[in-house]
Amino acid sequence: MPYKYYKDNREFIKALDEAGDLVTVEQEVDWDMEMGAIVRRVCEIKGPSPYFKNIKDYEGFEAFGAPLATYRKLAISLGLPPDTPIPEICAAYLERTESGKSYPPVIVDRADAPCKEVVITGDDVNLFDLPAPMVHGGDGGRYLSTWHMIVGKDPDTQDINWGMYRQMVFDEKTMVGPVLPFSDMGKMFHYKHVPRNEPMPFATVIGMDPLAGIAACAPASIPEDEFCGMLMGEGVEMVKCETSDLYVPAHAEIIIEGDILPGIELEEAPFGEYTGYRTSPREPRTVYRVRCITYRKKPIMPLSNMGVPTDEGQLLRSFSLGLEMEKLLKSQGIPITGVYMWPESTHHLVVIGTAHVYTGIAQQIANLIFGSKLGPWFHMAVVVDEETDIYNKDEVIHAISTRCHPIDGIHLYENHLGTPLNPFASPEERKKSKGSKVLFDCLFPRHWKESDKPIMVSFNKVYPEDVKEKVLSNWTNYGFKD
Amino acid sequence: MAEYDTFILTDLNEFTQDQAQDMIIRDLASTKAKYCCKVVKARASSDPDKYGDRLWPRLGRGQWVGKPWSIEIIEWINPIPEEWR
Repeated sequence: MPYKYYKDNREFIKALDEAGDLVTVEQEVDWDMEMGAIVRRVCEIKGPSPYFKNIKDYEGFEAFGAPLATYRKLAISLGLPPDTPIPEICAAYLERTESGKSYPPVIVDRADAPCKEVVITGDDVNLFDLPAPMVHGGDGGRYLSTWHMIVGKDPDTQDINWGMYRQMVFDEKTMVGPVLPFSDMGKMFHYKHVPRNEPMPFATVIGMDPLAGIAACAPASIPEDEFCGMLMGEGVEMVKCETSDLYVPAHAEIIIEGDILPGIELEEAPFGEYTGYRTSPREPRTVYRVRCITYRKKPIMPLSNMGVPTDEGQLLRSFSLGLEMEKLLKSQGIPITGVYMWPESTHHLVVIGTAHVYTGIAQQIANLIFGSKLGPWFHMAVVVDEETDIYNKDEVIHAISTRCHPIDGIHLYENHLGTPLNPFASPEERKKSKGSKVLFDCLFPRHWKESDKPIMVSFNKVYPEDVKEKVLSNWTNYGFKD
Repeated sequence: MAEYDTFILTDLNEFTQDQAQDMIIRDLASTKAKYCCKVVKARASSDPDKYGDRLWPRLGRGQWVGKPWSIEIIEWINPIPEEWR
């Protein structure tokens, strides 16, 4: 029995509209920064998604901004009520992806795949026929791929990868973007295709259904097409590409097919990045040569605008990084009570709640998560006890400020992997993808005598039950609102 | 007069003026293809009147320098190797 989900972008837009999380913009908007500025402001005020019906120069195309930039929209995408609390959204993700059930993709005929309604190949291919926005002032180019996924396949294992790797339009048939060597696609391209001097086929999927987007963001340990099936509770419908043996979601809005070229790099960036800065400069980066474009009639192009929190990159990456960390720690038998990565930290800070059952547990947790494939993407771990609400900022800040010893509780990890996008890193560190990490151990030492441990002073902890009950039952009688 | 911009990583003094060299410029014409990148062999100068077309320099993180230069395009270069075009 599949879960409730939306098969395409269009069903999802309708669901957002019904929930009051969409604004339809009929007025013409300019692809040259105006559309980006609207979406940026929406992200900063956590507003409803704009659905642009009329884009300057691009009659017949529509756009859809900030598709998943709030927990409300994330809940809707998973078929949950919009006001579902964060821990329940997390529980739904874990339940679906830890069920052990496998849902391989369902292959559909070309005639049944809406993404093939228009097919453009050869000399007719022109990326400027698509409404790629100039997302931010100061960007190095127009970014066609801001909420998308690139499909690739390992040439040896045939494993499929879906990943979000940004792509800037360079010219009519060329896109450029960073493919970091430690990313899944980076491992395929840099360590297999480049040494063999073989182009790597790719398919960029723009405007996929929201669960495929979540799967592409997730650092899953299984191929993302199967992971997407787990979120749906049935296989995702896929169709074969025109120019390669890759498969793409059949209900996506736009597909761009081509080859990633070895032995050549062209300038890309700068770009407003998920950290909230333009950090990586214009530099030679990986080249995508486009062979074919297919799309649905009247395609709707999604637009994510990275910058200061909160955009969907920050929210979804934080969401899935934290929950994949939770799976990892549980698999090692660590008695954690939960893991939550704050989207406001631009997925740099994770909070882990644990039972303090042995000395050194915080360091063990940090070593596991920093050393995993999730490690390059974040650098701050906060370990709190099982009574601290990891979703409550006030409680977490209180724990860091009062339980973390400035010398004994802060542990530094040098010479780790980082990303070139870290704003705090020196230019030299960024070039080498070198990162440092820090653990804030907010657990009182176990060897302290019980009589030496500070007692937390809070409503819940320092009053007898009968007093608390009396106060709560009389709360409105005292004149307070409930 | 055509109008382009280009990115010079950290310091405009890094750029050797008036010397023919390969560079990447962006076409700023107000068309659907605005911001299309071109690889060219060209000469450029901080004197806005020295060559026929306008060039706006930017630093590597997109910082707007604010004063126009001029550029003369000598050759348009296709950066993609022939076998992969």
